[in-house]
Amino acid sequence: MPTIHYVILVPMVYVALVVFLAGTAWRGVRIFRGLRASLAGTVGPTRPPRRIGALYETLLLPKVLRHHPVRWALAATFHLALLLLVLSHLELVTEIGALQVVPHDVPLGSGVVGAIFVVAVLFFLCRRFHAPARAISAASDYYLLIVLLLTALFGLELHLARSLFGYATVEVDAYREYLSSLLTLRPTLPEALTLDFVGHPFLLALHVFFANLFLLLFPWSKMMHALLAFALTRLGRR
Amino acid sequence: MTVAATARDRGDPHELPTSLPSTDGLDAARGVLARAVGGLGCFQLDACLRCGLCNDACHIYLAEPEPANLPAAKAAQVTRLFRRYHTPLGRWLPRLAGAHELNANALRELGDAVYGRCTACGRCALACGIGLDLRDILRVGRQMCAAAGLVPDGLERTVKNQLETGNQMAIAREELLSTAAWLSEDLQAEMGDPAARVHVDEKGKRVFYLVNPREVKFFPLSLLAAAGVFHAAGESWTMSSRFYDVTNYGFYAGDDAAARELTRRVIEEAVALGAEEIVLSECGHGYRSFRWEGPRWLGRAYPLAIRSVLELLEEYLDTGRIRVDPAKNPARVTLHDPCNLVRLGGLVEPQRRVLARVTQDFVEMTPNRAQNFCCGGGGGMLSMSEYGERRVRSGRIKADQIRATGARVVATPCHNCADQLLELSKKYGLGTEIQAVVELVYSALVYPATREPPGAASARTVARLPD
Ligand code: HEM
Ligand code: SF4
Ligand code: SF4
Repeated sequence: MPTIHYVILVPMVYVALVVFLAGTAWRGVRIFRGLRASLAGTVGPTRPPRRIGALYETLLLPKVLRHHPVRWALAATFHLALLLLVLSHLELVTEIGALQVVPHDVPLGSGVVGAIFVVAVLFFLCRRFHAPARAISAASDYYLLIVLLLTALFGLELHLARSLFGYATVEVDAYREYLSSLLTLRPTLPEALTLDFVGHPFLLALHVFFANLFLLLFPWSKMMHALLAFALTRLGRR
Repeated sequence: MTVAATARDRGDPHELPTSLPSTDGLDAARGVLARAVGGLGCFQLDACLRCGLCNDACHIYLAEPEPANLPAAKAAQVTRLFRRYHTPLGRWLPRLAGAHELNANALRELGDAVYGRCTACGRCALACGIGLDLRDILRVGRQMCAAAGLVPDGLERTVKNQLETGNQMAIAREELLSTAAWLSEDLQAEMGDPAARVHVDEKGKRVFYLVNPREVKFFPLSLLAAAGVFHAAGESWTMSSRFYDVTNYGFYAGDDAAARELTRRVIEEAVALGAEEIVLSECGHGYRSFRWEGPRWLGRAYPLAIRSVLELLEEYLDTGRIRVDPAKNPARVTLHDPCNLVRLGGLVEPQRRVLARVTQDFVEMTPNRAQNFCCGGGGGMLSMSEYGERRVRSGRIKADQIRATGARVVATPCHNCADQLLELSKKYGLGTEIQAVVELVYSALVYPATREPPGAASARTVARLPD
């Protein structure tokens, strides 16, 4: 098993998770401290929505729906697909009974969710190469989307390879063994995931590499907009 | 792949203000950014997704769709500087983050964006998915420019005038008194009542009335109309000859110290004259700053009540203190919603209900109320001659809105907007008259002793305006 394979699948995952969690918490604390400081100083005719109202606005984006219904639908599709993908990864860690209320294969969506996600990311990315979005884009806007796209593409390929092209040796159990070993801080790599560092294990390494990269960037990038949207909505500046 | 096109890319280097900030100025501007970190900064100055959902909310971009006019590009002039010094990614990987050094040129471009390409109308905030209000960001930008001494000349002079003379147009006290005197004569003649007059410096009156100095200089008939309506309603009111200015150019310049001082004087004058209530004449940013920002600037609530004359007019109608006949205003009237009064001031309906009762054919523009477009003259634009052409070009959106209503009269509860709308009417051949709401109420007035309804008021309003 090449070292690089191990580095990506074990230490880098740990580093990425720690940076992701610590960074998000750090920014989260700063954001909500700033929110408290600013709430005192805001004046104006509109009363900011309370927590529930802010949550409603953050999750359903009524303002976008009103002004840009098509973009709203695209954004909703993208974020929903993302949510489903995150859930499906949780199922790869361990079986979650609550999620099986609607019975499905693991990972969920049979590749369709992943495909939708890829198309949505492609849309966001292509958009950035055209005016007027191009004029307001920073370099990180492109890289973030590219990292997300690559993560999703390799993940999708991983899935398709397993179900279509007979990498039948790789079962969900192999992932569960790997991921739960990471969680219990006794990392082991099942042979099915490392075999020869070609084919399936090669794709897996790429998928995990880009996912790590995304997690590493997350707290420092505009990906914090989920929290920011809630905080800004609470501030009620309209 | 720059965050915002540079001035050279835009091909208009000459439109940038010529003065360069000193080293001290740059440090002062950096200080403004640093002070933002604990509050708004940590989540507003690095939040924009650059998704562009707000693009077509901006009248300036719609009228001139060039990259520098994109709301997010204007905001980026501030946020790229913030990111460079106060975010991890911007500090370590500035190019990746689209962060930029705060140097003399960056500050000049910032000034061009926050003063010359944005009227702080707040319309873009209506469209933002994450609830960002670019006004807050651009305000930090204006504060940076103010700290660095880069406020555009016209705006700076106006702030100075206001601080030194008590009114933004530097009108001498004698001029105000003589205007009040001849307006009183006219009013007595029009109303046929020798008791009607413009009250100045009278103690113990209920209402302390603030006006836009433009009313004294260019639109005296709107002051006359207010005096006439007050008289008809039997109101106890007065103005001050020292501090009667409803505007606040410190607010526009991003100069909080000046804004605070201007507010303090007026409130103290009202208290000194023993008034019970401050009534603001029709003014968008005057309403926003006195009604909402003032107590924050002063750090305490006012010792007396405050409201807009529009609310008072509605009360007169509701309680029967004045009688009106809409047939006296037969022409089609539409209403412009000043951003600072309506979207940002929350005063939306009284002016509509008043107009519906004093005119015969009142029609709304589309869009209206909080969704209305800025006339293009807000944000202090009118006082910055260097941006005059841009201002008129950006007014095209408003001109199109007005034309579509087929109205002959545009009522606007703001004298800043009135100036811009008059210019738009000429430049875009709209053939519309511009009137304050109180002027329309006055011309609909049924006053027992009225000899001749003062219908020709607006024509004279236009005639008195210099070119
Ligand atoms: C509930 C919280 C969230 C809200 C309110 C929200 C809101 C938005 C909005 C308004 C857009 C712009 C859509 C457009 O351009 O049409 C967007 C884009 C995006 N969101 Fe979210 N989002 C949330 C959570 C997340 C999370 C957790 C992620 C995590 C990875 C995420 C990833 C993205 C990405 C990658 C884009 C595309 C950005 C681009 O165009 O450059 N969002 N989001
Ligand atoms: S505040 Fe108004 S003028 Fe400024 S960017 Fe937003 S929409 Fe345009
Ligand atoms: S809609 Fe909001 S997040 Fe998107 S570009 Fe405009 S200000 Fe930024």
